[in-house]
Amino acid sequence: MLGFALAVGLESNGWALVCDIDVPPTLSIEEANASFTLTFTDFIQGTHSSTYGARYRVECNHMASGIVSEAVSAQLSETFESTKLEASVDGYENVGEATYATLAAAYSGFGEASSQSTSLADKHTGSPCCDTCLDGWLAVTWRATLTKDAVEGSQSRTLTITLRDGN
Amino acid sequence: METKHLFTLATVLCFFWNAEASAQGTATETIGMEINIEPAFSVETTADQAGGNIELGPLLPHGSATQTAHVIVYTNRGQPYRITQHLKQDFQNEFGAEFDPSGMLFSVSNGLHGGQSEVTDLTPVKNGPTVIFTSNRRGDADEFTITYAAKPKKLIPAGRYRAQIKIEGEIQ
Repeated sequence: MLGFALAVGLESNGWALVCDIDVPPTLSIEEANASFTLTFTDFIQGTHSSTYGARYRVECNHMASGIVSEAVSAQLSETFESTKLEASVDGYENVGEATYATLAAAYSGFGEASSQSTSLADKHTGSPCCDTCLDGWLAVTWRATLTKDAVEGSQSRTLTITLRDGN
Repeated sequence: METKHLFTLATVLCFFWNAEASAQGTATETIGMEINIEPAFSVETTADQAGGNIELGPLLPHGSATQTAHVIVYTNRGQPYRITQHLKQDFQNEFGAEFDPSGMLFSVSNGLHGGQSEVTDLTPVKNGPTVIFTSNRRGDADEFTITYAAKPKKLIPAGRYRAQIKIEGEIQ
């Protein structure tokens, strides 16, 4: 008698999955109001208008490392007649990790925003792990100052606020 | 497939033996045959996307991304078993930044053949082994689904984050 044996066995009890998470670059600066109005109660040169407090939501996950000058800037479509627009950066609130980069005012007090790009804030360095991230609110107070005695009326301009990543 | 090939071989051997015997007159020979199927236990995982990997994204700020993987357990042992999951390394992008694992969640479905999920609600993936599924009492073969969801709590540096997740079976 001949014997014939057939054996079948399988013993593989582990499986490795490669898992990828794709996080694309993000860069945005937003403000709740699309427009604001500054009002003068007098027409004499040197008079300041009412103020408008803006809070800009800033998000970026691929900022250049280190300090980025003029990370946030302002530019008017054209200057006002007999009036200059001024901005004061009041602070930056980081709502991300404490290790993220931050923004700091480019100057103290009110500075003029003209039809040329004007720096409002610079990016300051965060921890090495997260220096590319900005996640917070930038507070800016806007006002106008009469450079000459003004006649009655109103003027309207477009103000562009820009966040650049420095790359 | 291997079993079928061996059966074919056995048939051919029998045929030649009898043919030789016929040429010399009449003779018969009985061949004893035994098939021994050894115990088997294996776990296989496939993802929905091509390439078999879990691909989550694009993950936008304040957003989330989900993906499912199917796990199939082949077994003839007739013993209860359990399936564990193990994050083999932290998620890291090409620049060395890490993705907080608390933002990487998963849940597990019940099995199609009576096995029970041990993680029915979305739960963060852990570095150590976590039991995610238990077979029915007979230890039947089964299949189930793992849903992965990336939901970061904070803004994440841009990049492609990668980690290995090991799914393992263990006879109880």
